[in-house]
Amino acid sequence: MNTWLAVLAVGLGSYTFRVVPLFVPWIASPPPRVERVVTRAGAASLAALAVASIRRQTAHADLPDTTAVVAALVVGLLVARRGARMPTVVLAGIATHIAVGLLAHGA
Amino acid sequence: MPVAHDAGMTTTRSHETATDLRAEWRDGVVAALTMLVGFVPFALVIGATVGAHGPVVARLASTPLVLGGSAQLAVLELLDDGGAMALVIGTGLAINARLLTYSASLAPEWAGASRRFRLVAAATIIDPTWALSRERAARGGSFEARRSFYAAMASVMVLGWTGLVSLGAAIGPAVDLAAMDVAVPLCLLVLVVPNLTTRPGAAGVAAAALVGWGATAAPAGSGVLLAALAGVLVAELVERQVPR
Repeated sequence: MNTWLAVLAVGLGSYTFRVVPLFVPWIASPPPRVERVVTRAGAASLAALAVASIRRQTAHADLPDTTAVVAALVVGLLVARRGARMPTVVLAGIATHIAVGLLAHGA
Repeated sequence: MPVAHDAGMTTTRSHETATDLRAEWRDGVVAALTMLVGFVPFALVIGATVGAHGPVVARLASTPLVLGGSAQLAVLELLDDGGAMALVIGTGLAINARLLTYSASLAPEWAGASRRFRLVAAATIIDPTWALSRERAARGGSFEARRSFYAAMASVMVLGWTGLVSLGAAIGPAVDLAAMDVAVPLCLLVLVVPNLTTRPGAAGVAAAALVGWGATAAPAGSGVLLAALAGVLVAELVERQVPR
């Protein structure tokens, strides 16, 4: 029930964001500051989610597993900063995670 | 004879138009398929999250209804963490609020379109469909041609994306690789990186990450909203400091 409620509410809200500017002319040209804040709120939420996900994975992990996660993220960040697309970043990160995990557990 | 000539011209013109529209349709399909390839890992990661818990139907329905990978992932992760309903919905909407600006930028181009087209097409506006639509608009052509391109591209994108996420939901629980867990923050990282190119953007992301790290124990997933608020405030403060 909770899942349906959340999905329908976010779905309806998202559709409203999509459809209203197409019918209400004054919303079709939001002030630059509103546009900026909207973009930054999204990016900040995603950064917080990424951090929460990392924290969850490393909370009960041993040192080799934590090292593998950190190494994967550092490599992923470096590859993403160079302008690589998502598949490349994910593959580079997962490959690093596996390689460092194997090395750290073997050491 | 002139009548026959005119009729022939009309037939030729409408034949050419139909051919052009078919070419636009084909271009739209190809553009969407090419773009979809790049989204396969993200779709499979979201699919694995969809398939990880119940209720499966509601979680599968979130793909076409929310139609935004990052918002969908946030909603499902927060639900799995036992987040309060208002925070789950607030976070999902905060992430998808950018759609307002996408839709606003398409409004002038679609101003002459029928109400039905706008109502249906609105449901398919998301980062890749918006980007491909802008790219197609830059090449010019009639509205009919651009509409044909958009209809084909958006249909393939929505159906393809929903199919890939569903595939991830089906195979995700079977493919229990620890290394796949790291794919979630990696996907989120890729979405955040473009914001690091400006000082205010980077400062906002850093603030959100710090607050997010410190607030993981905050009740019912409120850490994400606190972090988002901190990110926006810090970015705005730095924006005022940056010399113009």
